[in-house]
Amino acid sequence: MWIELGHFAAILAFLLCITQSGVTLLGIYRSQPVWVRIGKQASMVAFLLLTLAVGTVVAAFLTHDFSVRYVAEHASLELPVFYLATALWGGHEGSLLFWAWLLALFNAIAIWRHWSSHTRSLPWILVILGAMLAGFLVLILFLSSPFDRLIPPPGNGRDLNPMLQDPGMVFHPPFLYMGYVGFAIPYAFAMAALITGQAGDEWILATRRWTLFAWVTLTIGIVFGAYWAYYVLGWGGYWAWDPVENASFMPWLTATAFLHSVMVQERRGLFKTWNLFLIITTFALSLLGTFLVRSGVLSSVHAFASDPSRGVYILVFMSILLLFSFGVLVLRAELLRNPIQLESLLSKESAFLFNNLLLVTAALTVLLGTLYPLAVETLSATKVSVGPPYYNKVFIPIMLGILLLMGIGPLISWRRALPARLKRDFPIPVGLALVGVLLAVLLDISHPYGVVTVALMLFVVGSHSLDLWRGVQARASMAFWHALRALLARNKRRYGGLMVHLGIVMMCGGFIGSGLFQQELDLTLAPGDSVQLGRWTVTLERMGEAAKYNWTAVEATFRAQNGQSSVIMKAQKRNYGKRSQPITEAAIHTTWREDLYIVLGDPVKENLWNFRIYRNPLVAWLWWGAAMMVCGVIFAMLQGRRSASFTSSPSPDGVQP
Amino acid sequence: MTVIPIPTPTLFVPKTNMGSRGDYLPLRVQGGALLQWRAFTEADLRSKSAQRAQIRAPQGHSLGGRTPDSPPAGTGKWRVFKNKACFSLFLLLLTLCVTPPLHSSPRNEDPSEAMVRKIARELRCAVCQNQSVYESNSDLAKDMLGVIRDKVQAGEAEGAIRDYFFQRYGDYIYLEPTTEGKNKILWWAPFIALLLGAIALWRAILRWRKPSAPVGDALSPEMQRRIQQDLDQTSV
Amino acid sequence: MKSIWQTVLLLGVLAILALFALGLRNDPHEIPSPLVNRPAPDFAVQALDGQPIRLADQRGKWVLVNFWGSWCVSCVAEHPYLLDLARATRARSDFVIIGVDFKDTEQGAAQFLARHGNPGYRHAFDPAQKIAIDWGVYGAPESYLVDPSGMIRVKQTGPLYPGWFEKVALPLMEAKP
Repeated sequence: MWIELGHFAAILAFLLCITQSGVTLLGIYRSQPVWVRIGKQASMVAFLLLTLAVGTVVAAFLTHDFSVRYVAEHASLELPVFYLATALWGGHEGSLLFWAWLLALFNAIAIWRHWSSHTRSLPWILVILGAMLAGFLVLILFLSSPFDRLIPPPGNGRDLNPMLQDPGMVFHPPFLYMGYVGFAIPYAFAMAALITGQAGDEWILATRRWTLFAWVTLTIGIVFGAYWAYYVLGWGGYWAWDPVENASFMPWLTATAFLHSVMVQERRGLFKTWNLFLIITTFALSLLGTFLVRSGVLSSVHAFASDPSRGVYILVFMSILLLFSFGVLVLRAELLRNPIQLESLLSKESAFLFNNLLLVTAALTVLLGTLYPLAVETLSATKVSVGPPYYNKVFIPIMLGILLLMGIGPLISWRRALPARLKRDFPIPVGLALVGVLLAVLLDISHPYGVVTVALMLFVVGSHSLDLWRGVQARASMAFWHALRALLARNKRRYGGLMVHLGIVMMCGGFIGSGLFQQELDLTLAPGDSVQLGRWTVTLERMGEAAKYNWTAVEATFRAQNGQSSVIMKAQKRNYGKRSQPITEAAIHTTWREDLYIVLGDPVKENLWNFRIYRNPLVAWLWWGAAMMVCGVIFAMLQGRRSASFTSSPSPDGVQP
Repeated sequence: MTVIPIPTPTLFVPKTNMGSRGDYLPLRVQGGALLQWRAFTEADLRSKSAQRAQIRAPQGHSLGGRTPDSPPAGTGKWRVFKNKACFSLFLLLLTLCVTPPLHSSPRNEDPSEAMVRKIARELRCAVCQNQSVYESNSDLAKDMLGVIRDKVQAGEAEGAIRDYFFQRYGDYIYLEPTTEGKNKILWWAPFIALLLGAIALWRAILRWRKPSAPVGDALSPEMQRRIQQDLDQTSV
Repeated sequence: MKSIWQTVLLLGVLAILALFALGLRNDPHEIPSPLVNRPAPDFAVQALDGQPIRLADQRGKWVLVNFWGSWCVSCVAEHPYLLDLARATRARSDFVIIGVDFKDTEQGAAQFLARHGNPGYRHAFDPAQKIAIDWGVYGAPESYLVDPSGMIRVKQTGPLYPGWFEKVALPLMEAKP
């Protein structure tokens, strides 16, 4: 009964979305504010109805209602409650419903927050988001419904894919989707700005927090995905350049470009069309990501659903959206024409431009690498693979360029950099970079990319600390900590951003450590055997069995010793029964300088097992670096709108606020 | 100098500076519980004969505690303390030296595995699409890994093994696409795009740059109009 | 200048959409075999009947090499046609079928043949899928048609279908003098 209620609510929500879009559009053309208000109410009610729909599906999971097909396919009586509640996004239909619900939620929040302040754009936002939500609900209601019944109901469900029964998977999809959907709001504002011709700075100010929010959730989503891959897939890596990973990475790159170039528009009023292009592209790439996963056009480990009719529908939906967005951009861009004036080649503005060039090229590279196999397959009768070695060779140099600009950024000021200041400030980070080269040689890094990365890491750290130091120095009258606090409090955005940069530097350390210094052993061990890996002596103490919740496992207990300290590590091979493929559960011991990572393989014969033992240096730095990035963004988001919008004048101390 | 025959594996720790203890100390390195060692040698420190007796003690015999025949500690407290201190130091050094082979059967990776890994990392598992042979858990990948292992152990060269798979599965099997033919697009397009973008951007910035010393209003209206016109044609 | 960028942008978007439209029709699981028109890799292993079997012994005949396993669902669907084909071509002196049972147990294979019918031809047994990898097989069923000189002429990915022999194999066999 309940699920039918949810289904009914979703249908009503669909009708309301059409109303929201259609009535508001009519209201705009007939200048009838009342109609627009009807659209607003419709969007609010649609959100409540979708919440009800999602609620009924979750309730069906929690009550083990296997007469609901989606529940029967993605849960079982034995599934722990923790995963039961989150199995909503364990499959295709539920993920889409969750996506739509998030869109409705953000839509409602945006309308509630901006109703009185953005009277011109809001009607158009209602039209655009309503149409988009209606498009998604068509997909949910007609092509992949999570509300279908399964009669007669099975006694037990088929269980959630064991790969997805991992804490990483609980957090990875919602954050990723929040990121994807979060860009819908800035996108809608941008489109509204284009259509109304009010493409000044209003939309950018309105969406500043939205873009930061979407960017940070996308970042968290991507990192959780990497974390999940690291913990579950058991090959000691965290990023495989899988098309689906790429699909989440492309919008991240363009969004990062947007976050930077938007500052130029806020301060100097430049690059307006370019910013619109970036935000539209970001959202288009987010949708592309959904398309890639859901349509099955590119096969990958993630694409758990592929159905031609769905694919065709998503393609049609994408085509309308892309052609509409870019068409409007091209047609209306004329309105935004504004004179671009730069005072100097050596200014923050031009640094941001080159940063954008690199980021967009990086996104294009990922797009090319992702679509190239599809293009070759479609246009010729052969198949190629584009795997990690390609990206390592092509993508990394581009990222190194970005790292370089990241270090230069804080050193040069808006409008024009003063040669005297450059002369004063540059030698320190450059000197640090040279120390970095030396350090790289001492660390025995032979790969040229590795050497350059270490040098650039120190360069960035140097320029960022210098920037902070100069800021504190300018407040010489105050005590150091006092000055630092005042400095940070005054420009949270700037220092939040710098913190994000340092987080990235930390992650680079993780990339270098795990990418260039990973050590691994493939061998067979019997209980009592021990191996030496780095500074660790790893002894297989015993083979045993373990069971919990819905799985049974073979368990290898290791003792890892390093000098005086010793830890017990348990690597498992879990069997979830209903789906035969066993899941490896790596034993991971994390320290700040390395992870010891043990994977239990297949038995060779009685009491002799295959093992893979990895030493992954500095992997923890990735997670800590990501945490630092998130903290930085949150810090930046604390800054209110007023102080962000004031236009620039060089601050008295010569350091840009 | 006494060397006491003891079943393998043994490790000879060089003479340490321990006052009266001048002998090389043979250490059974098995199952390595350090606590046992401490107990054993503590009693042992009192006399050489006791030490020998202890070391000769069969495996099953408790190594800990005083054996009934160990002589009472008739030496001064200072000596005991010094001995204990020295011994602690010795233990510390011992731990550092002995840690790696403390266990019964140290094993090493087969030397061919590094090459197997290198090859398997760059070949795609044909059924799991987007995972390398090395990373995949699929049956085919495991058997492909077996084939690679056999070939490496048979002494085939890396190139020959890669070629073997290429002959059978085609371009698809290489995770790193070749740089020939149409794949050149893949390899060069990003850099060409970057180069073209940089040139376009450089030129655009030069065009957008206005003379900086006199700010805009110093220009004649005609000049401003012309700049405006120029900019209108070029703004992106 | 500006219109160039606009055109490039729109063309790029259209190209990507067109690519997806075409790509939707592809089966992402199908990999073309580079072994076609190359010498078939030989194998000499134990057959399911316990006797040695060698591909090279069939030189001079057309050989249909069919890779299968008792674990494979599509093989069940394909099996009736193989039974028919074996019966229909038993009299031919220029055509033989060899099965390759891979990644399987002898027990499983015997059960499969007992349940779905034994077509009568011999099967090479390949538990570690060495032959399968040697032939660039990535799934089951897959079939190769090898000509009398030992060249692979056709690869069929997925089940053979009724009429396959007349449609694909016969024209090739008759074209050869």
